[in-house]
This record gives sequence, C-alpha cells and structure tokens, in this order.
Amino acid sequence: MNHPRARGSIPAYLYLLIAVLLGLVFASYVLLRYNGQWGETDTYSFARAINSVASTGELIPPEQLYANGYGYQTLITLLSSISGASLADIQQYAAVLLAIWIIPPAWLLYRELIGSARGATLGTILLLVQPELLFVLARGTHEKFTRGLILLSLWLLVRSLRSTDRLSSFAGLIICFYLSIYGVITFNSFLANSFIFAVIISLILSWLLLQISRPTTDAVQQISPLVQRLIFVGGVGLILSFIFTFYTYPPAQNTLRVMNTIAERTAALVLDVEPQQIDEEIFNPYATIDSAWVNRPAYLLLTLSNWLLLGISAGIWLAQTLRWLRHRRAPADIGTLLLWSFYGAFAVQGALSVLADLSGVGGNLQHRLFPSFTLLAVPVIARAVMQWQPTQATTRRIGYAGLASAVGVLAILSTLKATNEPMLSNKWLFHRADEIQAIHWSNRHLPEQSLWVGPDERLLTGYGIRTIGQPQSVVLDAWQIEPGTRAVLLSDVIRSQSLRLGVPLPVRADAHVLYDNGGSQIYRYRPETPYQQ
Amino acid sequence: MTNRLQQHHPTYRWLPVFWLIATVLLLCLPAAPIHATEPAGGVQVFAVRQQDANNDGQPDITIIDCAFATERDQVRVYDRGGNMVASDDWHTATDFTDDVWVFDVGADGSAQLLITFQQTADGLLAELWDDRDNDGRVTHRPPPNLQIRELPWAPVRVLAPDGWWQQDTRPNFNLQITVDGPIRASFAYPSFERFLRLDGSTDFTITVRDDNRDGRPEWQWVDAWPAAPPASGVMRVEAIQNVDDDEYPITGSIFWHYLGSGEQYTKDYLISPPPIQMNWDTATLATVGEFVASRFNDNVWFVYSQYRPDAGEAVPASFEAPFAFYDLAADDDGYPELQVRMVAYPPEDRYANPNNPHWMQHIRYSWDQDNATSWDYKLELVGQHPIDTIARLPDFDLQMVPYEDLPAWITGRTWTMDFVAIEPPIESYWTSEGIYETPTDPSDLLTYQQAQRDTLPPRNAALPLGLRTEATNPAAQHTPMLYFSPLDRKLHLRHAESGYWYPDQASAVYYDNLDGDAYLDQWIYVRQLGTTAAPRTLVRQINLTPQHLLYSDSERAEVLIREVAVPPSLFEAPPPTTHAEWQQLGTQLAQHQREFDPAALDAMAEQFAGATTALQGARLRDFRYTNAGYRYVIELEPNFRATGSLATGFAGLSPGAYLIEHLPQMQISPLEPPALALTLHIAPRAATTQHLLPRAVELHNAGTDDAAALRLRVDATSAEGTTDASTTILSQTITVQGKATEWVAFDWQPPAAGTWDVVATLTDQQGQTVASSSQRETVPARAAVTTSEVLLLSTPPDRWWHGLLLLGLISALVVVSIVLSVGNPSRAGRSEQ
Repeated sequence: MNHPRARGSIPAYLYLLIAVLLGLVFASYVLLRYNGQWGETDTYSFARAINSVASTGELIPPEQLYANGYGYQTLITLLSSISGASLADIQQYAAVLLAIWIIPPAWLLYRELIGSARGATLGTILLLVQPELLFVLARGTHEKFTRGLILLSLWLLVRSLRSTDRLSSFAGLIICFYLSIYGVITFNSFLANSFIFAVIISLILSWLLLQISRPTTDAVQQISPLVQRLIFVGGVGLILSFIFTFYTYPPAQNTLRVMNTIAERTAALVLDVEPQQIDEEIFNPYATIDSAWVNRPAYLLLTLSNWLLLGISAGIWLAQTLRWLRHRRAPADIGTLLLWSFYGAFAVQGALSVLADLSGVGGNLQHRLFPSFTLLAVPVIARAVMQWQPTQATTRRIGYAGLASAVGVLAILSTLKATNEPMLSNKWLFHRADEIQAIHWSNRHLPEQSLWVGPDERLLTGYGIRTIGQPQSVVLDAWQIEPGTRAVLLSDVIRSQSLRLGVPLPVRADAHVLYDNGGSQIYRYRPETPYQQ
Repeated sequence: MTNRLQQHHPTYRWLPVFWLIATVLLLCLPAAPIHATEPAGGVQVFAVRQQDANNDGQPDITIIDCAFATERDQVRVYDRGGNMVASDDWHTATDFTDDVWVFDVGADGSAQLLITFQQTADGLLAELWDDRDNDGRVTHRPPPNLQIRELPWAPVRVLAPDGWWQQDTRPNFNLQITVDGPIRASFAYPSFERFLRLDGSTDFTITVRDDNRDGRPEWQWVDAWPAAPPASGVMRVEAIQNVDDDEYPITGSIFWHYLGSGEQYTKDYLISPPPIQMNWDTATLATVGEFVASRFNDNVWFVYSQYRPDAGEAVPASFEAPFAFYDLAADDDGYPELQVRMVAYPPEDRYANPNNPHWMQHIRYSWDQDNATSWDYKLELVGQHPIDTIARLPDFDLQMVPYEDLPAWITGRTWTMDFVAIEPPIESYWTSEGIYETPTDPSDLLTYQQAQRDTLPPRNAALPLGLRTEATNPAAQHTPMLYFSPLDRKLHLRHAESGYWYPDQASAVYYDNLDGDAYLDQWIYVRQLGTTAAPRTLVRQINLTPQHLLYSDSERAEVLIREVAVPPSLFEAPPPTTHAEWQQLGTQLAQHQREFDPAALDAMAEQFAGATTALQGARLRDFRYTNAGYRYVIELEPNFRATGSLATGFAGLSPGAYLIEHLPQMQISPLEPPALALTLHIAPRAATTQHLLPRAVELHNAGTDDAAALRLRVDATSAEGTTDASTTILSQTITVQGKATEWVAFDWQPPAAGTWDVVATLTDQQGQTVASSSQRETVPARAAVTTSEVLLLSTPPDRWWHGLLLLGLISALVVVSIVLSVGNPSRAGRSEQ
C-alpha cells in the first residue's frame, strides 16, 4: 500500500517523531520519578542472568541461567561491551530508554492495518497509554524486544502479503519475517510459542470466515493467500521453536520438563506461562489487588485504560464480526482481515489464560498475555476512530476534543500505574541512598552474615542491580525474617512500608544498634547461643 | 632338563626352532573366539542343539533349552564370526566375542533380551537390548541380517577395553558401562528418576576397575547425568572401594558372567549377585547394580557426592563422604565391626546452605564391640571442622577425609554428641548402616550450630525400648571419650549431661549430670506400679557427690546417706579406631562389666562401703547442687527412724518436709513451701506501634522449696475490644528455685493503637494460678503514612516537582498528538486519501 502525501499536510515521519518523543518523555519520567534509584524482581533476575553470560562467556552458563532464551542477555552484554557502560547502569537507566525502539514497528504496523499515518499515530499514542504494556517496557527484561519483534513480524507479514508482485522485495520481506520470528524465540521461547499459536488460531478464524461467508472474488484473492501464508508461518514457526527448544537452547526444554501436569505444559506452550514457585496452594492473581494497592477504586482508576481498551475493542470487533456473518461477507482488505483474526486469536488466548489462572495452572497468565492483546486491540479502536466521520462539525469537534482530553488523562493514570506510584501502590520500587549506604557498610562489616532488608524484595533487587557482578559478603534477607538472620536494617522507608503494609518490624527491644547514618540503622540481636556470638 | 634331553636324543636340537615356528603360526592365526565358559549358576540347561542355516556344513545357530526365568526357556545364539563350533556343550559351541544371544522366556519364539557381542577398536563390546515399546518382547530380525526395532541405540553398553570377559576362571572387572534412560544404575537413582530420559544420551557412566586383574574388582564409580537443574542436590557421583580387594565371586549368572535376574541394586553380605539384572516379566533391564559392594563387607567405603569431581582439581565431596566400614576384629569375615557415616557439608554448600561459610559434619559412628554381628554402641557427632585433605581416587581427587584417616580424624576433634548403647530387651541390633536412632535430631543440631536457632534443639524422649541414650550439651563441644562407671558398670559418654533407657514398657532409667563435670552423677529408676484405677510410681534414686552416695527408695520409704567418694570412672577410652583399641576396650569391658537389673539401684549402691545413715520412713527428692554445696528435700513420715552416723541430726524432728543442705556440713531446716511473686516490668514511657520497648517479668520464690514446671503466660488484651483484641505474647514453662529470682524478657509490638491490658499469669502443674500481675498501657496512635511523606521519601525533596512536570508533559503530548491525528479530517483527507 502506498501512502501518498498531499501538498501542505504533515509529513508521515513527523507523526512518527511525535510518538517517539512521547516515548522519550515517558522514559524520562520513569528515570526521574525515583531519581534513578529503583529496582524490581525481573530486572534483577535478568541482571544476574546477563552478568552470568558476560562473566562466563557462555550462552548457557552454569549459574543464573535464564531458561527461556538468550537474546536479551547477549544483546545487553554486547551493548555494555560497545558502550563501556556498566551492566547496572544499562539495567537501571538505559533499559527504559531502549523501550522506545518499539514505537517505529508499532507505527509501521498500524499504518498498514489502519491505512494512514494519522491512524498509525493515533494507534501508537493509544498503545503508549496502556499501563500493562508500559510496565513491561519500563523494566530491564526481554519484553520490550519480544513485543517489538512481534510488531515487526506482523508488519513484515502484511508487507510481504502486499508485495507478492515484486519478487525481490517479497523474498527480502519473507526472510526478514522469519528472522524476526526466530528473534522472538531467542528472547523468550514461551512468548514466541504463544505468538505462534496465535498465528494458528488466527489461521483457523480466517479459514472459518472464508467458509461461512460468500466472499467476493476480490476477497477470495486476498484471503486465500493469507490463509496459505498463515499455514506456512505456523508450521515454520513451530519448527523453529522446536529446533530452538531441543537443539539450540536445551535449557528451554528443562522449563517444560519441570512442569508436572499436561495442563501446565499445554498452558506453557499455548499461553506463555513459566513455572510457578508456588507449589502447594493455588495462587489467585486477582486476589493480590487488595494487597498491592491502597484501595480498589485507586486500582480501577489506574487501570481504566485497560478496561476501556478491552470493552471498546471487543464491542467493535464483535459488531464487525456479526456484520460480516449476517451478510456472509468477508472483508476484501487483507489488513482488515489480519487485524480481525489476530485480535480474535489473542482474545481467545486471553480468555483461556484467565481460566488457567483461576484453575491454578498458570499464575500470572493474564498479566503476561494482556500486553500481547493490547498490541492488536489498539489498532481496532484507532481504525474505528479514524473511520468515524460525523457530518456535524460541532459533534466532530466535541468528539475529538473529548477523545484527546480523555486519553490525556488516561496517559497520566497509566504512567502512574506502570511505575507503581508509591502514593497509590503498596509495591514500592524505589530505594534511598542512605539504605544503599547502610547495606554497603554491612557488606564490609557483617561478612557471611544475613541482613534483613525489608518486608519485600525492594532493597534486595535495588541493591542487587546496583552491585551486580560485585562480590557480596553479606547475605540479604527479605520478607519474613529467616531463623538465622540476626541483623536488621531499619530505615525511614522500611518503617513507612511496615506501617503501610501493616506488618511488624522484626526488631527485638534489646537489640544493639550497630550502625546509623541518619536515615537507616542496622540492629543486631543479642546472642542467645554460643554459636551466635 | 632341555640340555639333558638334547644329549640323549638329537631331535631335541630342533626344539627351539619348532617353538619359534609354532609361535609365528599362532600369531598369524585369526583371533580365537572367547568361548562361553561361564558357569551357568542361574541357569539349568536341558539340551543343546545346533542348526546350519546357510548349509555350509558349519553350525550357525546354537539353541539352548534351559530354565532361567520360567520352567522352560530358550536361548538362541547366532554366530556372526563364522566360528561357531559344532558341539552339544554350549560352552564350546558359543562365544561372547561376536555372537548374538537371544533370551526367550517361555520358549515361545519371542525375545525378552538381546545381547550383541562384537570386537571394536576400543575393546570387546556387549550391547544389551530390552523391550522399550512395552509389548513384552524385543522386536528384531535375527542374524545374518540383524535388525533390532526397539531403539536405534542399546540402553546398556558394556565395554571391556582389555578385550576379554573372562580368562580361565578370572572374570574381567575392568569395564566401562554406559546406561541410557530410567534403569537403576546408582543407589540414589530413585531420587532423580524423573530427570532421566531414554534419548540416546548417556545418563550413567559406570567404571569398574580391577587393577591387579585377580578377578575381584577394587573400584567402582558411577557418574550420573540426569537432566536435573544445576541447583538440584542429586547424587552426581557414587564411588566405592573395596580396600581389601576381597570381593565375593559372582554367583547366579545367566550364561554371561554379569547377567542375572532381579532388581536388587546393592549386594548382600558374603554374596555377589550378577550386577546386570533383568526383569523378565517386563522384558526390561532393571538394574545395573554394584560390582563392588558399598556396605555389605568389611573394609569398604563409598562416597555419594552431590558435587561432581573435576578431572583437574579436587572438589569438595558433599553428602556421604565417606561412608566407611572397618574390620576392627581383623577377622575378614565379611561383616564390619565399625561403621562411620560422615555427611559433609562444604562451605557455601549450594545444596544445603549457601550462606554457611564453614565446613559442617554430621557423623554416625557405630561399632560392634564383641564381634557378634550386632551393633553395641553408637556416637552421633555434629561439628564444624575444616577438611583440607585430598582423597586420591583412580581418575579423580576429592576433598574429603581419606578412609584410612577417618576414625582418628573424628576422635581427635571436638563435637556435640549423642551416645546410644544397645541394652535389654534388645538382643541383637544389626543394619547395614549402623544404629540409626538418636535422641537429638542432627538437622536441629546443624541449624543450631549455624546460629539459626535461638533455643537448644529438643531431645526425642521416645526412642524404642533397649536404646540407652546420652547426650552432651548442644552449646558445647568435646572430644569423644567414653568412661566406665563403677556404679552401674556400663560404658558412658564423657560430658553427657543427661540420658535415659527404657528397659521395658513400664520402667525407665534416667541419667543426669547435675554438677556439670564430665560424669553422670544421678541415676533415677522409675516404674509404674499398681492398677489403672490406683496407679503408683516406684522411684529409686542414686546421687553421687564428692563425699556421699545418696540412695532412696520411694516404695520402701528408705533413704541411705553413705559417706563414700565413689570414683566417677573405672577406666576411660576413646571410641575404638583400630583393632588394638577395639581389642583393649573389649578386654577392659570383659574385666569390669557386670550385669545389674536396671531396677537394682540398691545392689549398685551396695558395691561401695562406708559409714551409712539410714532413714526409714523417709523419701528424698529435688536433689541439686548450689553454689555452696548441694541440697535436697527429705520428707519424714510419722514413724520415721534414723540410724547411723548422722542420725543425731534427725533426732527430735517432727514428721514433715525438711531441706537438707551440705555446705559441706549437713544442715537441716524445715522446708518452706514456694511463695511466688510476679512483677511485670514495662518501661514507663509508652510504646507506639512499630516501636519496641523492653519488657520483662520478674519471678521470685520466697520459700525454700523449688517450684517446678510452672506455666508463665503473658497476654495483651485491647481494652477497646478492637481488632486483634487479644494476643498471647509469651507462654513458657519455667522453674523458680527456692530463695531465687528469675527474669524472663519479652518483646511485643502493639498491633494497634489504644489501651491495652498486659496480664502475666503463673500457674502450677494443676493449672492453679499461683501469681499474677497486670498493667494497663496506652499505645498512642501513630499517624498513617501520608501521601506527602511517601512522595518525599521516594524522590529527592528538592526535585519532587520533576515528576509532576513530566506527567503534565506526557498528557500534553498525548493531547497534541491526538488533535493532530484526528482533529483535522478534511486536511488529513487531502493528504492521505
């Protein structure tokens, strides 16, 4: 599809630049909100995995292995080597900036699916106000690349379907497409599997639509190649995934092996789930809302964008589907069909994931799959908005102004949600310099001893990322204090956290104060046995 | 001889030439097959017949009608080397060099096991093929066009690099065996079976060594390669050595020396079953078991290590490293007299406690003192000692205490210890791994020594009848040393602080070391008498003090105070580490040991003569040491009578309870009952939630009688009846001795603001409250964390507005973008449509 530009209109690249600028401001917010002093579990886990790859020079290091792919570790190792920046700096500061890369492929794909640069820009802006996606983009994990590569793959797929008349271009696009697919696999094989199964579901949906409807000749000419291509894509994708899992990167196989039930393994392959640490009791991710946020209204407000996206896109999609079924007519445009079928595929996966979560097979499936769903739900809405052409100028103005204002507010709410704003969230990500200083001190003066650093992983991850690769002599203990831990870090933040969470501080009244820097203190229990001297 | 023969017969001059030619001819001949000369111990052969399948005049197939799994089985041996000999003796007809052996259970024409033998560049190879598609048979096409349609590879491969299985009567035990899939090929196999896959990659590598080629293997080690996560504590290496090189010959083989039936991984005493064992019912290879017995022999040892040895560097051996058996009697009877199991935890042990920087050991040390194949004594030892010695194994080194040094290494170091002696009613106690039972859970001791416990590990007071146990104080460590008590004529553990023994269901003997020296000084025998409706308890007690032997009998209401200094021990000895020490200890025990009825404390006391004061109509209780001497309580009955040297002190006393104190002169005073007072100490300034202030309970006993087994409980109750309205802060059992004060500290963080009533209560064994105290405390509310506080905590105070500015910018950019995108459709329509 060509995108001609009329004289006097805004160039397409400017639209793209605006979207990139918005991404840059969001990244700046993430960095400046906590003055760069933040950390969270997945970023820390990946920091350890990257450090392990970098220090051993092996894709499959013996320790701290990330079992689902090596892409992110190798990429960050490369960036660190080229730039000279430390791993900690990249994970804490640069990772969020790297998230901006997702914007060009998103914009390109949306332009193909919606049919205009303006529509692509609207879609991209709507994408950037989705809190679940922003959250995964802000972290130092593979997700910004897996999501971006999925967008890139879909764009290449659409472009290749529209370039069949030019062999060289077509061949190049096909090669790039499969390279992108393999790229997704190397970053996270489970996420790649769920994408491949989404391709298969979309193939089934397209085929069903083809069977049910009375397609026009044009439509048949459009849809048949798509169905044919999706068969190839699904098949080749599965083969690539198999080769990766069983030959290129065997640790991915181990992840499957440790899952106990067929249901778990199926969920892992189809729905992108990783092994859960919670063995005994069924983990209900929906029950954590009450503990993770100050109250439910706050959570609902911050996630309003999710619900609106879900409701509006589902309404549009269902209306579109019913219209086609009623008239037994398939869309003639390949972009429309592709968008419809992939939206349906991710919606099916999302619905299955909620069931799996509630049955205990998964654990956080909906969190993992919702960003994927978001990628396709956003253009459904953007396309509908762009097609909305009220005849009344006043209606149009009011409608567009309302839309702009509403999305402007949603952008603020989503940003607060994505960064776990501590004024509203009980899951704090930030730490303070005095806390880091206190742990540094304990590292020198409490060798081989355990230090409790708070009722959650906040400091464990924050300090861990900051000192990744450095020898640690103190052992950090968090959550419920371990029986062998006899030193406790108390800071203004930990005291406030304790009050907010309603959990007691594990300090004994007669404990010694070993260290005090004004903001943080380290207490040590008096010895009760000869071995605790 | 040759020279003389040559002189008598000229032909002998050519003899050297003849030998030379014969030797050259022999060397030029093709290699002769290794004929099947294995005695078929597990087989009964009925008939042997042969077939010439290709009509070349030579037999190609030998069919052996026999019984190895059922009453009628068959083995078909296919020749692949053109060297099958015509014979009705299967030993002559067949070979283990190039033949294919097909084992047919039930002689129904099917195959349950195939063994293909072949000569390779690496040596003689046997590949074992069993049923892998669960149809009960090995699907195959027999030679000459052999095809096996189960797997592309054999699950078990046995390689003899020397190129022979057996020479004369000596089997070859220099073998390299590989196993693929879930076949039991290591002792720890059940713990990681789920990680094994039949996938063509090796899961076990088993190396067997017989360096002196005497037909008895000395070494075996198993490398296990399960697809387990790196952090999984599976046993990656199992190594065994027979130090005496006296492995028992294999019996029960099915034609091939190493093949047998069954599913037994370990050997038993005095026997070696064939190590490769078939389950004929399922047609599957069940076990590749021990070639060298790990534990059913004397002078053997093994290592089961979670860490895998490195060929270039000695790595620490973790878990059982080593587990050793010694022939202390030097009789080489196949049964050990000493068993030592050391569970070693290297520093920063990734499989146990990565945070522990020290070596830790948990050891079981059992020995059979009278060589009756019954363990007599056991020490359980826990300690932290560096191990820097290296044990040299044939192909790798391990950082561990070498087998030959182990007993002396243990007895030369300090430990926290349990001691167990086998007593009646147990007549014999034997396991392949020593005496298992121990009063203190070793894992509790390990966590205690790693400073992870604030309280002493509990003792299991319910060991089976006949196990006499003693234990040292977990807070102290001592060198293992035994002593022989002249009182009960038994071996005891030096520095034991207490012990017990249940001779039968109704009685018990309790031992205590009350003065804190190295020896027990109190024996109490308790027996339940009477009926269920009217039970009564017999208590007999002996206390040894530096000047006296005290004896009391509750049934006879008799107390004896004998002026005698009983020596604490007759002899002392370390646990035996060598034949000489074992023999010497045995000699000393034989010289001094005497069997007393456990109830006969009076007979024990009668061994020692001295001026005796006898109190008839009296009972003794609550003996204990004080700073000045020792004390006890005597309860005098109305008709009591005192005779002997100290009788004058009791003259004129009224019936009742008296406190007797030896300071060192005996003083008698009426016993004052416990008079308990409880004071609650709460800091004067009020606590807030999340903040602690020191609190304590002070308990004072103004009487002279000890108040034992009191229950102290501290509760806090919200006066407003809010949430968390009542909570128990402290609940523990305590003894408050006569004329003494005890302090109990406690912590409490009020869960909510408000007024709280803190109540401390002391109750006696009958549940009656004997003292209590309460105090009302007002906990001021601390303001909840405010939004502004969190904002200032989470960002530098002078930059809090950065976030707000950027949020506004984000919102503004979004609005502008949308306006640009959709806000001017007519213009956009011109540009893009």
